[in-house]
Amino acid sequence: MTHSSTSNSDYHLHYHTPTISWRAALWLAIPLWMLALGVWEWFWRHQGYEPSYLNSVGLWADARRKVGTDGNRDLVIVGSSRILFDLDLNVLSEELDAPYPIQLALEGTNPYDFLHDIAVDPLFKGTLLVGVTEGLLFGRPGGERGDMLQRFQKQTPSDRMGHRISLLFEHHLGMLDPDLRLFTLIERMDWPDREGMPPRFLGVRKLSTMDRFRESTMWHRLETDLAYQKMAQDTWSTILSFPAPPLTDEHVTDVIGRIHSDVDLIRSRGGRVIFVRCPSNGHFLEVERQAFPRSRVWDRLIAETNAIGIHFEDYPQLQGYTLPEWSHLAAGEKERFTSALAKIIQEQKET
Amino acid sequence: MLFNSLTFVLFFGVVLALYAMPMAWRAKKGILLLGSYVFYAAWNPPLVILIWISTLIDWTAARRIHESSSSAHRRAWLSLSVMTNLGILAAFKYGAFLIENFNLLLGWLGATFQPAAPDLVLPVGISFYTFQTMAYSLDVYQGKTEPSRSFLDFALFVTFFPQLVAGPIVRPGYLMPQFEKPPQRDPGQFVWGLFLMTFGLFQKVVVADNMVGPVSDMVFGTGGATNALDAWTGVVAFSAQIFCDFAGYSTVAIGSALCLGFHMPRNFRYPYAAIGFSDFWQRWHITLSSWLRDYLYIPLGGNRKGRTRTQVNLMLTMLLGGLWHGAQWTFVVWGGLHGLYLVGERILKRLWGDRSTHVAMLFALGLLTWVLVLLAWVFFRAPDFGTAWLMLKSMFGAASPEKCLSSYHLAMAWGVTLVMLTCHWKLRETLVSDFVSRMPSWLVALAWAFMAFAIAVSGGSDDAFIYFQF
Repeated sequence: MTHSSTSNSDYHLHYHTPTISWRAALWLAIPLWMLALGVWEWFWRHQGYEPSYLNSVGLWADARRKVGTDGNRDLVIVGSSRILFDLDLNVLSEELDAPYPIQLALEGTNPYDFLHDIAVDPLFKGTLLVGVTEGLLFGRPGGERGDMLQRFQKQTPSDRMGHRISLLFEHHLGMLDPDLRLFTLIERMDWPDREGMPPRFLGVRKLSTMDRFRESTMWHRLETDLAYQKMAQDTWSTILSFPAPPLTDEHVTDVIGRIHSDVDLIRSRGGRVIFVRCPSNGHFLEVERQAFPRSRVWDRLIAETNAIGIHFEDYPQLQGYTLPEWSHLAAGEKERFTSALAKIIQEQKET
Repeated sequence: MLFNSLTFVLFFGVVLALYAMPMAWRAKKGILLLGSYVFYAAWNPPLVILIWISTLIDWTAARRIHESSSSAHRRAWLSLSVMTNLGILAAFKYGAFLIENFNLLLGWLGATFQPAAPDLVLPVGISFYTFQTMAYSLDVYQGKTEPSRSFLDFALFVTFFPQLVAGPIVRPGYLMPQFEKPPQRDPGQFVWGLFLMTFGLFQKVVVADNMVGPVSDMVFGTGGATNALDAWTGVVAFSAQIFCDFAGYSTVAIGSALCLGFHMPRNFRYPYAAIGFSDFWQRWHITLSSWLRDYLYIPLGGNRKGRTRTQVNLMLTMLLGGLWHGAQWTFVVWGGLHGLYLVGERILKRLWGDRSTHVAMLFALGLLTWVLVLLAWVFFRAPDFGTAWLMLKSMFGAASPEKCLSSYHLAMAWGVTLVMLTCHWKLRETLVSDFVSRMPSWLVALAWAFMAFAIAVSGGSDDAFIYFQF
């Protein structure tokens, strides 16, 4: 910057080709790389990580773009992980005689923004199932995947093409699981706690697998590996112990008021909204009952929006399922639960 | 299109395959040009029009400048070129910033009129391609280069995809002659290009995005108030992140151009081993600093008009260089700090002479340079002055005793920093090419396989390169 000369030799310095045998380097590097990847894939498959579609922006966007394609027969699901993991989409479609459901629920995420997004979409005239996890719907805005709508709206042609290419690999490679990312694994190693810092919280570990249409199923290890199951329960206990602002009636009124407007908007186009409270049990349910009493939250939501509400505690056929980590149904329970839920929805429709 | 995306892998494979087909050189250049437009449109198709406008205006202006014997006409055509490019920049990049500051000024003067700021999408890489194409008109005006006889070559010079959105900013006299005839490749150049692409992606995906990026995000995410060790850790993490992110981009750009048979200038030379700030700016983002030197600092008078004027020219160049990075006052302060560093260095050199020849002294000066660069990075990274100020206070233990980083994050940030500084110091006078030349082929293969493996298992991050926003 201090030389007043336009001749600048460093500018023209470029990378000349090093004088090594590049052909040999390339033909050694490729098999080494493939061998390393092969061993990596084999090791994780051996640990039970089967290939699964990634719960990506692209997959969600594919589902979101289908909203409105079946007119008033559209069946769309928003909510959090319970309604994401607990429903068998084939069974739901068959039992309700509806097109294949559009699964838009997102784990650990406040579903309000997504309910609103569907409400203001003039193309949507069908049925909207809203999964209610009180701690999320009446909690802080956003959450784990709270930026999904923005990312969907900002998808570029390149992003969409990248997703198409990714789909070719995802269901063949177990190592693509987010839990197996190199630096996630390194971070989860036994690093010493730092004095003055709370114990490390490393987030929720793998709970489910996903198919091309975002149907999620509990990962088999939660049912077969008791240590892993205990770890998942401990994770919920930690999350449930995080300090949260106390629930106020003003806040509940505000949330229900906004939901009510959105429900009315959907109804004005001929659509309908059904709220579903999926089962939870154990310590999770105890905390939920204490922090979000039905009379202050669920009952008001249903009464004030005048919508259909299906709470698992009100229906014996929605109770008694296996929830290995207190919050989501075991894989084998989905079909029975969905069938029972669909029958209730059908009955509600007819009355 | 991001280099760190599957779309780019497919795109580059298709371009290479088409480019390798037996056809006329002109047809191959046509493929590269079309590919470059696709590369840009894959992000936001309508904004390709801005590149076309720049291309057409500068092509016409340069020819008219060259053909005209009237200095008034020549100046008019040059003005058209400069105003078009700066106008596009001003409208899309600085429009909202200008109006926001205009409103502040009006408010300060007591006026109630508040024009609304435009809500325009910032075209990716706009600062890079406008500077590159503007250099063409300026060079033709100054007689440094003749206008290209081929519109295809010129359009490709403006749009050439490896360096379109984040440089290196290439001069017309450097790149356009390479388009005139099919390139003569060195043996092994294609594979060397692939190796460099892998190395660049390793820096970006593994080091910047996974090892140090999360640490700086965490520290700056606190709003700046944290304990001194954590604050310094956040800043050293950012210094590693921005280097690996940007040098990584440049390395992929250089590598992909090499695969196609073209050379690109180096953009980085181990900047954290710089001793002093004139040295730093000959090592950091070299193609921008040389652009600013040749098209701003020297036209302002450079060091030819006395000491005071030299210092003023330096400050102006660095302030505008700061603003080039983004429409925020924090970037201007970052540039201003570097301007002050350069001015201070000149004054000290004049007072004390260049006596620093002892190795220990050079190392101490290098360390001082790095620490001052770190302090300036605070303004570059912080979203606002409040955060920057709190971060500086935190670095000197005056903001908060709260810790925000785990031992893992500390180990990542300082581990990467230590390795990076050691590499920069060890290699400061060498070229990567020379370093690789000294390695046996099997070791290169091992390093290559390791980097490719680490990229594949670090997981896809869709983080854009930091310099895309500039």
